Amino acid sequence: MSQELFLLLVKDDNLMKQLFNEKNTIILGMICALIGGSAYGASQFMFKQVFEQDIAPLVAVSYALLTGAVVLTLINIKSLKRSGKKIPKEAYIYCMISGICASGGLGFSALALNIAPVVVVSPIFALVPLVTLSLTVIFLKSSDKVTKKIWLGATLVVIGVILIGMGAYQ
Amino acid sequence: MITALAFALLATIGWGSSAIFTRKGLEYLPVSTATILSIIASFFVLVFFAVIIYGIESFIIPITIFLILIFIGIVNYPLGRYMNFTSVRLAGVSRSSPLLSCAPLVSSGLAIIFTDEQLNIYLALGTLLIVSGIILVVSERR
Repeated sequence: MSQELFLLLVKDDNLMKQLFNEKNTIILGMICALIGGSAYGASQFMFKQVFEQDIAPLVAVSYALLTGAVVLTLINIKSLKRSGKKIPKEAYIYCMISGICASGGLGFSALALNIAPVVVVSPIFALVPLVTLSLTVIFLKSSDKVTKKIWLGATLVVIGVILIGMGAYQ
Repeated sequence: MITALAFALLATIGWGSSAIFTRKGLEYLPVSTATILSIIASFFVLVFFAVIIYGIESFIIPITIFLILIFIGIVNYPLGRYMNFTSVRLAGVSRSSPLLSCAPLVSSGLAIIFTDEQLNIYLALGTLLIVSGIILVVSERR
C-alpha cells in the first residue's frame, strides 16, 4: 500500500521525485528503524510487567503474535487481495523462514534463560547487530554494503546494550 | 552452563539470520505481506516451543493479562515488526540492524519513568554508547 502510494506520488509529482531520492529513502528507512526499535523497547518493558505476573514468556509472546497477525491482516486485507503481480515462491518462503528464525531465536533464548542466569546469557543476546552484519557481509554482499563506520556504530550499540543489561541487575 | 551459552548463541544466530531472509523476501514481496507471513510463521514455531517447555495448560491466562497482551501485540508487531521490515527495505540490513537495537534504551528509560528502577553508571554509560553508535550509523550516507 505505502509502496504503491509512493510510486504514484513519484510518478505524478516532480516535487515528490526530488523528495524521495535515494538519499532520502535511506533517511526514511533509518527513521522507520528507530520507530521500530522504540516500539520493540516499549513492548519489552510491557512484556516484563506481564512476566512478573507468572505468565510463561513464550505463551505471552504467542498471544501477542496472534494479535499482531490478526490486526495486520485486517489492516491490509484489501491490498492482500489485490496483489496480481507474479511473485516468485521463494519470496514467500524467505519471509516465512525469517519469522521462523525470529521466533526460533526467542525459543532458544527462553531455553537458555531456563538453565542460566540473565547476566550470563544477555551479553550474548546483545551481539545480534554484529551477527547480522557478519551475515550481511557473507550473504548480501551485492545489495548491502557494511562500511567501517557501520561496524563501529554497531559495536558501540552492542557494548551499550551489554552495559544497560548489567545496569538493570545492579 | 555450556548448554545455556550454546542456546544463547543459537538465539543470536536466529535473530541475526532473520534479517537476512527478510531482505531476500522483500526483494519481491510488499512489506505488509512479508510482515504477516513472518508473524504467522513465528506464531506456529513459538506455540510449538511453548507447549514443549511449559505444557498446553500454560495457555490459560487471566483475561486482564490477555487484554494487555493484545495491546502489546499491536505495539510490537503491526508497529515494531512492520517498521523493522520497512527499514530493511528502504535503508538495508546493515543500517537498520544497529538502529533497531536501541530497544533496551527505550525499555530501560520506561522502567526508570514508570517503575522504581534507578539510573546508575552502567545505564548512563550504556545510553551514551548506544546514542553514539546510532549517530555513527545515521551519519553514514554511502
